[in-house]
Amino acid sequence: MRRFFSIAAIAIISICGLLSISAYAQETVKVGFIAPLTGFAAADGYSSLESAKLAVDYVNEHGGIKGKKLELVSYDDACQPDQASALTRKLIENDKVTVMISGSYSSPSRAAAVICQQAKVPFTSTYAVHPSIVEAGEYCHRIGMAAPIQGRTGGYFAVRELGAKRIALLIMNNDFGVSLAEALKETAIKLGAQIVYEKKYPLGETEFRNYLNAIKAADPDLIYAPGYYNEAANIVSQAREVGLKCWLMGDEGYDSPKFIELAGAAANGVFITTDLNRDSERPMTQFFLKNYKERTNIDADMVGASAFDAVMLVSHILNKVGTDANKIIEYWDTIENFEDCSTGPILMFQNRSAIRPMDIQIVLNNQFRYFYRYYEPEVIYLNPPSGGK
Amino acid sequence: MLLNLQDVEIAYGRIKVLWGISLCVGEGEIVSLVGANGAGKSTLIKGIMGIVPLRKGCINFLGHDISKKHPWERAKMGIAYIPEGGRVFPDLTVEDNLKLIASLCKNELNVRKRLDMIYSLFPVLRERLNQKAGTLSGGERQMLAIGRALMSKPKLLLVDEVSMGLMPKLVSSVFETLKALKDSGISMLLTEQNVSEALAISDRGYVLENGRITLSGNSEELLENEQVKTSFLGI
Amino acid sequence: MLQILVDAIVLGCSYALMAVGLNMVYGLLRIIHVAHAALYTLGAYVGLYCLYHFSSSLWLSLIFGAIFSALIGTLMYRIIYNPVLTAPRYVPLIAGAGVFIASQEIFRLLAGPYPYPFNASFKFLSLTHSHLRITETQMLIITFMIGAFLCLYLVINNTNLGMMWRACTQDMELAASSGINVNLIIAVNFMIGSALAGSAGVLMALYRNSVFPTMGAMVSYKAFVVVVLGGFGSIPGAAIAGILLAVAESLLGMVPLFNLPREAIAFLVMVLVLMFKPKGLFGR
Repeated sequence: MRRFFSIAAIAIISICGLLSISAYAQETVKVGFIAPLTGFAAADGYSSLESAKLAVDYVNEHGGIKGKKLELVSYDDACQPDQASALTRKLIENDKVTVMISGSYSSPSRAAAVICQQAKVPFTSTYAVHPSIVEAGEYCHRIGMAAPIQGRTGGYFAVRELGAKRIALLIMNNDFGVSLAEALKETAIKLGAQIVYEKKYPLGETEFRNYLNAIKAADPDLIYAPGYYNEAANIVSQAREVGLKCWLMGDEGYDSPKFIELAGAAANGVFITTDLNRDSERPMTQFFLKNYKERTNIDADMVGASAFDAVMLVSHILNKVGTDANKIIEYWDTIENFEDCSTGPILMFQNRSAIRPMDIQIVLNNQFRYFYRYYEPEVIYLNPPSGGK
Repeated sequence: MLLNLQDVEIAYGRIKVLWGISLCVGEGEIVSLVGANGAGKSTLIKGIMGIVPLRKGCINFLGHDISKKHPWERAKMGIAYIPEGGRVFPDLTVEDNLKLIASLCKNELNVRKRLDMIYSLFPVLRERLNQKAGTLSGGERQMLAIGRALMSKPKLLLVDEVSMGLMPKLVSSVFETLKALKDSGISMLLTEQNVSEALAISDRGYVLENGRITLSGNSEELLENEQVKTSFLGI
Repeated sequence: MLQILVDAIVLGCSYALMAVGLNMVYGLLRIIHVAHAALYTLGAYVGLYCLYHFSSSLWLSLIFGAIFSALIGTLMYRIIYNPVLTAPRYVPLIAGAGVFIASQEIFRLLAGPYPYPFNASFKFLSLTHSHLRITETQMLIITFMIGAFLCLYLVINNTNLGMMWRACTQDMELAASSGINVNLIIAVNFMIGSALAGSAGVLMALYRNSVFPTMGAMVSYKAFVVVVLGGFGSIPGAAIAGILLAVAESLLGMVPLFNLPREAIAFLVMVLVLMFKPKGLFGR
């Protein structure tokens, strides 16, 4: 009798356990998310995590994933590749996430991509630009603009639209800055411009006067300074201080209201290549800008927009094909004209990188304003169709 | 009693150096602390000055327990320290080395008079006034060290190996100076390897061996003691 | 050319202001005060807080930044360094590094990860010429640095406090037994060094128009290079080496084919100096 009870008890406990596990599993679809919430990149980590949460709330208010709730499991990678890979493993093995999103910089994203590829878990980076992230394999995607496209767009704009013949490069010395600069340089030279100055500076540099004085001596028509807004604000204001009157062009890393706040009046007239068009009337863009501001009391930036879009796109895919990894990546490559995102729209995925019309924005009256948009395949495609050049 | 140590124990980290040291110095007395190299003499002096903390026991000075006081507080109560090897501040001038002490107790004594007294004791120092102390010879540095200790008009002088590294001629003149100071009413506790010279000028003595006091008594008695004779005097 | 020199000197002033504090601590306690740069950031944040909450005057934030950093710097010594002074030298080094890293996250938690602009209003001299332009901020930094060093020099060489400080740097034990309140001297030392770091933080926040949690990172190792260059413990060495380093960085950065970032130059110079003058340019 006693034995029967104990067996029954064990049986009941284990059934309850099983039920609770399966019930729990039925409740949510988990998406893993890593972002730098501490360390030097904490500001971008905050933007991207809050934006991702905003998107998750939006998805859940609009029916979730086939009736289940979407759940974001996020960790802090401190922008360290080793932490990114450890946390990605943890998200896959312990948290059993269906899809991984990296809201981090290029090097942690690369580390996470490799782990996801091994584990066969669909992965996407958000605003990280380095080409090699998607090269980890068929499970790895990119929502943001790949560096080759973005740099090329900058090159076309500088040479063809602004007519710059002499270009100076002041490059942030990391994956981001270098890969952008290389792409722009290649395009600019192909289009007939000349690179008159090229120098790298380290992340966290604050003093650019000596570079800028040298640039002034080289007398360029345009300075392209790929980097992040913190350094860029110093570059731009010091460039005006030393009396440089040429065009200044940056990248999506400048795309934060903080850039304008820090650079002050000197920010006016700076061009950037970005994918967040604040002047756009697309409802999702306006939804994101308005709700992000309400949620955090800070104006939205490109980094956040990219993370927001990643969650939106992932939930779209999950709603379409369910949680099977192979179906997810199969469908991913066939997506066309995805409109439910704050940037873009995303026209398609080429080599697992998002292709979208490329925007040039300008700072006017202390605001980012729409300036120019490229639709031409030779600019915005990862592999331009006219291969015979 | 001017100074009274009871059951003092000192250790560097886990390594004990001194065990159960009890000794006293009376007003106007010179007391010697003799022992071989490494017996713990210098450590005991530093313990009394407060540079090295006590593990156990207490130190009474003028009836106050000073074992918890900082070295500078002890200095202000009237204890002065002449460290081993003529340690002075090498990058300060001779005059600054002396004035530094004076500046700390300016109300209590007439600096000029005090300086004159020291210069008359050690005329060499007057010639070297603006020289950095680091450039002095060993003997001159030792004089400066004594002079510094006297600047504060101390009641008790702790003298650590004053003869070490000095020429024999200088050694006896230094000991004469100490004796003269005693006559002016300053009490002293000296450690010395030069046992016979030390006991010659002191009233009493303690023998320190391996961190413990093994013998104590009047200087004459100690000089006659067989153990002292064999281990220190080489007789 | 002159312009480049002036810009470099301004930068050098910030290195020097930081390095002096480090050197004062090293001279006295023989520890490398890694957490010193935390006080630079602290000064900037305190200055920012004054700016946003009390008045838009720079002077007030400069004073508050300096005072606050001085207080926290002294507290840091009492709480962090004092208990480990007798431990092996790497212990205070690691403790300091820990405090510095933690401080960055504390600033982030208190003020958020985003950089803040530092818009202070003030009137000062400036110079605009066709070949040379010194902005008000640059002028202020140079003046502040010269003033601070002059004061420091006078205090060290002409006052009793300075004499006691010098005595303590030469022989701490002897100083204590000579009746010098060593704890007080160390506290004053930390106070002055930290106040300089704090005011450097405010000035550089003004110069760069930004305050953010990790702003001390770059400064911390630049100051370290300056300390090595100038010689450990030498205050005039720190001042001169700070300016020399900034000038060297700027001039080498101008050489067309010399494509090394500023950091590389700093450490290259450090390695070269260590090879030929291991005690630094002005070390004893």
